[in-house]
Amino acid sequence: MVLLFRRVNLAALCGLLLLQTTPLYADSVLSGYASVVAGRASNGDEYLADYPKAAVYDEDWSFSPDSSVGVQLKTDLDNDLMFVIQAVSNGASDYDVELDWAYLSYQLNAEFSIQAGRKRLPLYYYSDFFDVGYAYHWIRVPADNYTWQISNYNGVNLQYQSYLNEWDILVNLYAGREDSRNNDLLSLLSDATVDETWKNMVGLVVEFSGNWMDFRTTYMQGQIDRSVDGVVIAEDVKQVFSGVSINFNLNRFVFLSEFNRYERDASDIVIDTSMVSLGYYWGRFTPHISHSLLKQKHNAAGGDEYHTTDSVGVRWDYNDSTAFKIQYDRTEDRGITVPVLGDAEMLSLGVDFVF
Amino acid sequence: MAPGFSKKICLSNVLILILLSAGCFSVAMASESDSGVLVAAQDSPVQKVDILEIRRIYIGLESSAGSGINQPVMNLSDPFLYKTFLKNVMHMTESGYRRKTVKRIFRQGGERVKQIESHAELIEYLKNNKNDVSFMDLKTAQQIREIKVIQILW
Repeated sequence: MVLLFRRVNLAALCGLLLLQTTPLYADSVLSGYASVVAGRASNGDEYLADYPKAAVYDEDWSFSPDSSVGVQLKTDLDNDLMFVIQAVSNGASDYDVELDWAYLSYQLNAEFSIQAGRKRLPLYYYSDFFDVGYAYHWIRVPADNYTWQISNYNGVNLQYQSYLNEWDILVNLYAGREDSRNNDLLSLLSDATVDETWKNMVGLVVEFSGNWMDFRTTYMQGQIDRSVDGVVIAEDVKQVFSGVSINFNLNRFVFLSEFNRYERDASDIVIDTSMVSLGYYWGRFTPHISHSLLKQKHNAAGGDEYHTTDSVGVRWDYNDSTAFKIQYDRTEDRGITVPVLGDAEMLSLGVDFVF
Repeated sequence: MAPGFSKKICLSNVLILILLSAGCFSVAMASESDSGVLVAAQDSPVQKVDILEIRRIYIGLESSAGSGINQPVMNLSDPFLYKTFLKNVMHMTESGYRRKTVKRIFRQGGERVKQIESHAELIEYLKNNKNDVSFMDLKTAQQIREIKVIQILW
């Protein structure tokens, strides 16, 4: 299966290269985004700003943890077939270029499409566009809520997209797997080399989106293999992720919320994460406040990871494609047997743009 | 009843009627001049389409095979018209539309809807792209020979 998807990706890349040399046969569109963010931690040695990428600030000003750039190429191979590739470079990963997306999409009819290749793993509301800072009012999405170690998957998905009166409906059924060698987050937290595989993943996302409200529900189940410094510590362990998100746009107010649960019965692991945020559209400015948390249920191994973050910030829409932001975060790390990086405060300034 | 009083009532009734008529006329004029329409080149094969199809294509989704539409064009020549289109057809604010299209592009792949800021450029573009559509106010559309009104949008 892995080999199959690697071949799909390879074929897709070859297709892209061919298209570069035969522009008359395809219609290509280039889009992109970038974030330049500077920040520093205070009242604490380190601040973990981004779990998936293990982006950490210390007490010196730094541009690396949250700065990123992404480029997407969409190519119509014919009326129903398109190829999408998105390459991303993050400061947290030493600006190595990684493929977030590389998939073929076939439009079955006006509502249904089927896609195969590499995509973002759509666990959370912001998973698909996690790095596209322009699409949300924060500098970064609330970190406590977005603590997963696997961001992508190779697989297939069937997507339904339509309208019901004023509501935009999206249903996405997906299946696949991801192999992560020396996983960024797990290797940072355990100070060892951790290889992680999420396999046999099957998930469903249902989303209703209107002008004044978005509702999204998500479910995924699969299995985990994990090894630490080459020693297998978990194999075929079942995991389940579920979540719900409700957002309101009422007059000048925007209210965002997300509640998720991650369960691994065999290890007696239950983790709840959530986020609420309130913003106010004041002309081109959007001041906002947020609260997020991750709380793990105590288990026999003593697992008690528990951290919360309060944030306040302002977004300034400079023009239709550029937004400046400033944000202050305060994290309390309440875990006793499983502390993360301790309490810390954080000041960040950034600019996001799309092109 | 004093004859003068009766005359005053009659006169005031006539005045009210005149004012009401004028009001109705101006409302009718206003509603016509405020109407927004879907337009295409005069010799375009595009026919009337479902309003949901119009919302689909303006969010950046592919047009349905039967619609005959290649791509929509966002008419930015008049900021008020643009906002009215977003409000009445897309049911969105300007910032809401912007966020939604950015999200869609970076979630599902795609491209932004083509935008044209000059009225003359829009007419020229539609003339040369017969399967593309745009919107404008009815009064303006009726004065341009090179384009046809496909349907009333609001």
